[in-house]
Amino acid sequence: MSLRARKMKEGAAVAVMIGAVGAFFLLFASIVAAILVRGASGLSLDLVTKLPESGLYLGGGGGVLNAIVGSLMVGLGATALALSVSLPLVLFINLYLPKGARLAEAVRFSLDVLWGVPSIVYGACGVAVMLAVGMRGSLLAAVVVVALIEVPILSRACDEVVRLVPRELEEAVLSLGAGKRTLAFRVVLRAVLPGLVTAALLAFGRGIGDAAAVMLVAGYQDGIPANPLEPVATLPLAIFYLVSTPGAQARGYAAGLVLVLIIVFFSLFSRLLGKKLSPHRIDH
Amino acid sequence: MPGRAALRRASLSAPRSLLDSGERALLGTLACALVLLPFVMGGGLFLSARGLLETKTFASLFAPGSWNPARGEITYLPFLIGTLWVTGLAVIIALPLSLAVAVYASEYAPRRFGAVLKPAVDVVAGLPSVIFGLWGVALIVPATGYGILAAAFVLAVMIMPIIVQIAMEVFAAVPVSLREAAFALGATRLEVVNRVVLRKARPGLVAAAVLALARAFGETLAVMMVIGGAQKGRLPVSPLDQADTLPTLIANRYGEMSSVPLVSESLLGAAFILFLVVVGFTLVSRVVLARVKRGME
Repeated sequence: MSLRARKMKEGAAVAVMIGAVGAFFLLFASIVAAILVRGASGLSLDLVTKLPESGLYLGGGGGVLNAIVGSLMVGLGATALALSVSLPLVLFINLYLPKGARLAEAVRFSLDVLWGVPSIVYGACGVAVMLAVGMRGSLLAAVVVVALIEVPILSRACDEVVRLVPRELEEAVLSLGAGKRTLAFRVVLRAVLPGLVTAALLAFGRGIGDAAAVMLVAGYQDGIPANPLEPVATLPLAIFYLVSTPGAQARGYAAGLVLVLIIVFFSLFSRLLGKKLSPHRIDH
Repeated sequence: MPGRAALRRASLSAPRSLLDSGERALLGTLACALVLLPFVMGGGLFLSARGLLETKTFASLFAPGSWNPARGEITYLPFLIGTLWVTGLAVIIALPLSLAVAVYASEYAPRRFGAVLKPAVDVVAGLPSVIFGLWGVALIVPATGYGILAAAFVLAVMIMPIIVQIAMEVFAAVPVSLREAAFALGATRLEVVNRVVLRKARPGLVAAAVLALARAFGETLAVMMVIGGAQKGRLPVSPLDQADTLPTLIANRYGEMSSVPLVSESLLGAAFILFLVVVGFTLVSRVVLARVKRGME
């Protein structure tokens, strides 16, 4: 092939790729635009401050406050629960076990597998347990199942951060006569705090956005649950029900915008928090 | 100075080693429980669905037919085929575009481009599935109608970030020296990409596609919003048909689980199939990816 032909091919390939990049960004922009434009027109104060009135899902009055509060309960509760499992787990496999321990590798592999298991399967497992013990859909079940979904995400993200802590720091602490617990919870934990916030946010986003598992185990109600054994509504499901009803579609988009805004708010908040925490970081 | 007081306190408390060993046992149990969790989930689903095989033969669960557990008519075939249509099309749509973007970002564009692309991809990857469903209802359904094609488009957009992320990691693992050798022989950039980078990265890219497939296989709500729903007893034959997938089957019918006989067994059986397929896909692609990255270092 002549040099010219090769160069022309090169140029054509670049053009195709730039086209692909353009299409890629256009697609994502269209998601943002669809939610913003359609959502903004349906947004009202009632939507975020009122409970559903009879016939909301048929185009009647009221809002989705129940789902907003429910989503926050499920998202925050599950993230807190997942953190209290993931954090000790990650510190254990990184600091308590010798480097390259079989158990640590097995845990990482298991986390990889669990990360891929779809949300609906977690939901089905939850339902299987609930049927066996005769429990009905509830906030408690939703928090537990969503926490299980979050554990692999959170643990893997924490693992990445904890692995970056320099060995010298560990050695210095241990040489002062401190135990593993002091090392893990007083030194390493402090060093990785900013990264931890990011990881928690990732898990929270996944938790608050989850719909399939929540649909199976949370039940649904138009009020705000007064205790953990009551059913709970969440935003993704409220959006789903609203959009599936011809008269309520505009409100579905508006609720979608609310969900995105909640996620954006928490991500900005966590970024600020991360910055605030980083001065305490031990420099390396 | 972090924990100076704690150090002093710790060194003064005599039974520290006892406490430490109790704590080790506790944390070790937690770690073992996590390793066992996939087995518990898979085994639990299998045991819950086992009752199905007392009234149905294994083959009849995958034979053509319609879904009516109340009359003992249970077959996964229409839902499996629906799932295969949707996920297959989604990967076919997403793969070329994502690979082009990943190649451009890692082989052509200045580094600044990656600095823009990565956060954007992360943000999209973090959006809830219901948002993609809304997008599908707003922009895709008006063009294609409810059905397999609409679901495939929505899924394609959902898995693109995953493919781009992994493909860029795989490209980054291809040694620079290989590229330099090809350039030194007078190859154009495209030739380097085609004959060196893509060839070296192929197993990793296959793994990326499989991982994306696994993700699409289990997606529920976004698909449910745009796929319409299966016609009774008919297998989907064209991308414009409406259909159901295994996840939408579960999500549509879970309400009957405690009231209609065999529904709970059959739905948990569907979840078991999903679990097996997805875990199989994930295992294979993780092993390949780990080997690819290690082999290139």
